[in-house]
Amino acid sequence: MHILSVEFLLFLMAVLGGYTFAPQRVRPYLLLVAGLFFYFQSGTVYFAILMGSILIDYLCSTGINRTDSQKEKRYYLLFSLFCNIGLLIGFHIPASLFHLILPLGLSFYVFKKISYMVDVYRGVILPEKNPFLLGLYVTFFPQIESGPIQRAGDLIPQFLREYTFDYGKITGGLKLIAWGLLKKIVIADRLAMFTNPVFRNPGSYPSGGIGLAVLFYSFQVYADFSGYTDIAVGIAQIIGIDIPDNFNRPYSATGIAQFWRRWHMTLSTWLRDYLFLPLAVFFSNTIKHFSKLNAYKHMDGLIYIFSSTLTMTLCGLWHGFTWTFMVWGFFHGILLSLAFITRKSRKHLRKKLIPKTMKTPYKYIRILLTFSNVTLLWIFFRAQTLQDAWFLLRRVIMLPLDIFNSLTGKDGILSLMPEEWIGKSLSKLIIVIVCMILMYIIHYIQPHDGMREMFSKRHRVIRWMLYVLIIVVIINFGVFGDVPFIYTQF
Amino acid sequence: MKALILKLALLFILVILVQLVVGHHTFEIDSRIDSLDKQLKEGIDTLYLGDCTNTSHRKWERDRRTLAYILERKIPGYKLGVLTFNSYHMDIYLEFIRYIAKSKHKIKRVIIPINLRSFSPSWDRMPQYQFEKEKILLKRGIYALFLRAFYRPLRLLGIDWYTISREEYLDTPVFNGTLRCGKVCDYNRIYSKKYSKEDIKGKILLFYMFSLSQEHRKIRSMLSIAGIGHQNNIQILFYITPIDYQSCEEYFQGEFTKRINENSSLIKNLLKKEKTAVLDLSTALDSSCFTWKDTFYPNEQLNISGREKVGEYLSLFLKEHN
Repeated sequence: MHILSVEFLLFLMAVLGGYTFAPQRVRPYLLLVAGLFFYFQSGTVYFAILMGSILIDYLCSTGINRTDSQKEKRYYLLFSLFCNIGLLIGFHIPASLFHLILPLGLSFYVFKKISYMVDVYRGVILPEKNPFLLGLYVTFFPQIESGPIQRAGDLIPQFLREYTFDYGKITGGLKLIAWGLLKKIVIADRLAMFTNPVFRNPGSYPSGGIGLAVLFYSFQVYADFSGYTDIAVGIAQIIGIDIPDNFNRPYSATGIAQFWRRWHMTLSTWLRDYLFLPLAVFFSNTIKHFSKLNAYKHMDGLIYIFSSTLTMTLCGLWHGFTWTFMVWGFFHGILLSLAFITRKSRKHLRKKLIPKTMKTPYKYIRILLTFSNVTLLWIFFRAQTLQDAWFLLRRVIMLPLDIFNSLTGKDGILSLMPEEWIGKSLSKLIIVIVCMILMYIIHYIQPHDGMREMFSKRHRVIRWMLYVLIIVVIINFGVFGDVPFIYTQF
Repeated sequence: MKALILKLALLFILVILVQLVVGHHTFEIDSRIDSLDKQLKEGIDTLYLGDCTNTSHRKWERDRRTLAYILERKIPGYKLGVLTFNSYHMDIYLEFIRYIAKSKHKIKRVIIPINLRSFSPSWDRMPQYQFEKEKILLKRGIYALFLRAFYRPLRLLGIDWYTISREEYLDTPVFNGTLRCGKVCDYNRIYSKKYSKEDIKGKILLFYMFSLSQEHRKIRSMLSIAGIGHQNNIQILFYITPIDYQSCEEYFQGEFTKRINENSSLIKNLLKKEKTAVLDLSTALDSSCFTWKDTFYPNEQLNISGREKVGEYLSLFLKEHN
C-alpha cells in the first residue's frame, strides 16, 4: 500500500476514526492491527520474517532481564544482533547483486530493534513485558516505511498515554501532512523528472544538464525524504503521538559535522550512540592496551578518524551493499575526519584572518562550501555505477571550463543544455526552478517550529488562503503516479 | 470535534471553488489541439487527419517527407491543414470533427484515413489509445469545463479515464474471421527481438484477420463522422490505407486479401449508404512501397515511394470530388 495512494487515505481515515472512538485500552492494539495490516500488504513472506524477528527480540530482551549473569546477557544480545544484522545483510546483498526489492522498511525496523536490544542490555530501558507493545513499537505504521528511527524508551510509553482530542495537534498534523505532500509530489517528483533520465544515462547529456541534474538531486532527495518525515510526523501527531523530526535546515549547515547533526537526525544519533561511540571506545581501549607510554591520550584524532570513517562507510552500506553507497559513506567519513583534525587550526586562522565585519559573508561561504561538498557526494548516492559516478563528477568539476568555452560559441551557454529542456520541456524546467525557490523558502521557514508557527502568526483570511493554495498547488502541479519515496528502497 | 469537521468541510468547499477556476487553466492543453485551433484561425479549407502512415518509420530513410507534405504540394489550390498522430483512430477523429463543426472557423473538407488495423482488438482496446483526455479537451460547454477543472483531482482519487484496463485489454478475444483464436495476451510479444514465422503470422492474424462488423464502435464513429459532415456542410473524404498485402499473403495464402476485401467492402457499402466518398487503397500498393522491417511483421507503414503514391492517389481523389 503506497502511502500516497487512495487506499492508504481510506486506511488512514479508518484507523483515525477507530482510534478516536475506541476505548483507551484497545487503542494500542488497534494501532498494532493497523501496522500489521499495513505491513502485510507488502508480502506475506516479509510479514512472517518481521514477526519472527520481533519474537526473537522479545525472547532475547526478556532473557537479558531474567538473568544476572553478564555473560548470558551478552549472549542474548549477540544472538539478537546476529539475527538483526543477518537479516540486514541477508537481504541487502542479494538485493544489490540482483536488483531485487528489499522488504518494506527493512533497514529502519532493524535499526529500531537493535536500539531496543542494546538499550535493554545497557539497562537504559526495561524490556517490554507485553510482546504486542514491542510489536507495535516496531510496526508503528507511520514510521515503518522510512522512519524516523525512534527509541523504544521514547515511543512505547506514548502508546499507553491517555488519548485526548486535541484540536491544535490534529490541525497541526494535517498541516504537516499537506506540507509533506507538497514537498514530495510537487517538488521532489518534479525534480525527479529531470534527474532520473540524467542519472540513468549520463553519457547522453551535456555538462550543463548534468550540473543542473546534480543540483536538482540535492534538493530532490531533501524534499522527498523530509516530505515523507513530515507526513509520518503529521499522522502520528493526529493520533497524539510525538515522533521526532529528521531534519533541521541541513543545507544551512556551516560544516559537514553540523550537516550530519541536521540531516536524517534520528539515523545520525543512532549511528553516534550504537556505532561511533562503541567503535571509539573500542579503538581507544585497543590503543590503551598496546601502548606503554599512555600515547592514547594524544591519539584522539586518530581514534576519531578510524571511528567516523568506519561509521560513515557502514552508514553508506546501510543504504545498500554497492560500491557507490560505500564510497558515498567513506567520503563523508573522510570529510568528517578532516573537519575534526583541522578544527583548531581553522579556528585559529579564522580569528587571525577574518575581520568581525566579514563574519556573515564568511558564514555564507562556509554554507555554500558545505552544500557543494554534500551535493557532489550525492552523485555517488544516486549514480547507478561507480563509473557513472566518476563520469558525472568529472563533468560537474569541468563545468566552469565548459561554461567559459561555451561563451565564445554561437549558442552560448544554452549549448550546454539538453535540447528538450530548453525546447519541449522548458515550461517544466521553469516550474522546477520555481520549485527550487519554493524549496529554499521551505528550508528557511521550517526551523522555527515550522509550519504551525508560520500559519498561526498570519491573519485568519491569509491563513485560509494559504491552506487552499497549498492544496490547489498539490492537485494541479503534483506529479501523480506511484513514485516511491527514495528512502523506502533502503 | 464539531468545529474541526465544520472547518474541514469549509476548506473542502473552498478548494472546490478555487479548483473550478484554477483547474480549467492548469489542464494541460494538448499541443495538437492548439495546432488545430491555430490552423483553423489561419483559414485552412481542407484538413488532413492522419495516423502512422503519414510519417517515415525507418531511421535511415533519407527522404523523410510526410504524406501530408507531399499531398500539399500536389494540390496547390487548396489550403491544407494537417493534424496527425501515430495511433489516432476513428473515435478521436469523431471528436475532432465535432470540435471543427462547432468552431466559428469553417472548413470545406476533411480527409480521414481508415486504417484497417485500428479496428483490431490490439488497437481498438489498447488503454493508451483511448485518448480520453483529448476527448474531454475537445468537448465544449459546461460539462467540458467541469471535467477540465476536476480532471486531476478525480484522477488523484483513482477515477481514471482509461475506460479499458490493461487486464481487460489483454483478455480481449482475437478472431480469425469469426473463429476465436485466443486472447490479445497470447499475441503480445510485440517487441521480442527473436521472432519466428509463427510470431509474424500471429501478428497478422491479430491485426487484420478479424471479420469487421457494422456494430464495431469505430464503424459507428465513422458513420457519425459522415453524418456530422453532411449536417455541417463539411465534405468528408475517407480513404482506406494501403496494407502490404503481398507480404501478408505469404502467411495467409488466398485468405488475407479475401479478408481485407471483405472488410473494405463492408466499409465502402456503409459509407455509400451515407453518401460519403471513400477511396479504397487497401490493396493498391505492392510490397516495394512499404517499410516495416523494424516491426518485423508486414503492416501499412509506408516508405517514401509509398507515401508518394498515396499522395498522388489522394490528390486525384480530391480533384475528383471538388
